Amino acid sequence: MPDKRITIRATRYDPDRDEKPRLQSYDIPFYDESMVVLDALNYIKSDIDGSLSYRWSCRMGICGSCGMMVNGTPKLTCNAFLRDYWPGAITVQPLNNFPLIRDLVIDMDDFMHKLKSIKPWIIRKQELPLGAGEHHQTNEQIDDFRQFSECINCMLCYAACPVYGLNNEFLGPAAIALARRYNLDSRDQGLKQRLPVIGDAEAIWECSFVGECSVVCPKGVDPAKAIQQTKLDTTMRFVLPYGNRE
Amino acid sequence: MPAGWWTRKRHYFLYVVREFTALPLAIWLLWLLYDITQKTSTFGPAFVVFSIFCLPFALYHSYTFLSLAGSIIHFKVLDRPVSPRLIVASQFALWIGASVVIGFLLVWLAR
Repeated sequence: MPDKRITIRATRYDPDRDEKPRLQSYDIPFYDESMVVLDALNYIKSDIDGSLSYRWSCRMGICGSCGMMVNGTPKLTCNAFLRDYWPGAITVQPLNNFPLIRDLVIDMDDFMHKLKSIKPWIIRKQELPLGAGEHHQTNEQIDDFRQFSECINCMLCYAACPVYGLNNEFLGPAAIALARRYNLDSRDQGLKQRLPVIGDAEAIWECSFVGECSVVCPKGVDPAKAIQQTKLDTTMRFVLPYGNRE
Repeated sequence: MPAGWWTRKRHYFLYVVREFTALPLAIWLLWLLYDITQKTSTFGPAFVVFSIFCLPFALYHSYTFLSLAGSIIHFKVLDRPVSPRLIVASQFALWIGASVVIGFLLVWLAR
């Protein structure tokens, strides 16, 4: 199908020259049924306009770099197939709810700070020496948190979340889901360190369960579920006499 | 965020509808509270009409609330997690059971 073509409308924005972002159309060959939006952007960059800026790396849905708004929906562009949109045009815009740096590149500093604030690593009260052996964990114990550990920090959930869009103080879906991932890990002892962050008014209690974060997640994580379950758990800790346990 | 963000996606729209259905219920409750504090509580035709108007909102809100329970409630029986579908089904069963009991009591008390 050498003659098949598709129109890509991409956001262009040069902070030194443009007052606000604008859309620019590119008509490109759609030569392979397996082409994804990222391939189209790479074609534009290599064959039409080398100044187009966007983030990408692995091309296989694991690095979480290439998230953009594709026809208004947050998607990993390496996982958005042109065949699902053709013959219609595809509009590619930077992720919603983040400051724009240039073209399709957003400023992710806010998310990175939030991610760090929930301490997404295993915390031990006292580290054992290596010689003491490994921490044992059963399959059932892994199942408790497995789906929340699939998060690749792609920030699609932040772009889909109207609560974050309206109030960017909100800790947000991925950070809370990852906090839950570590809090549910049988090897972790850091719950009390994370509680002040996740129990804050701008954290779990800001979420009103829109649920779109879970819809757009490319890895099948259910951050909305993590947030609501954390609400229930922290409430139980408060209400039950034995609730304040580690 | 543009003011019309909730019109951009069906999911957003249904979320706003879900949240909005709480508003008539809140007004209904305030009306009820006001009415029962009056010396001669009447529950006149206007209140009956408003109650009927509120019923679909109440049903929709309850339906969405209970449907989401499967995502929120999580516990294990014999070390195995209880399936969200079973949790939702039990919530609906409880809701129907409680409605029948309360309905029966109201009819019985009104005799």
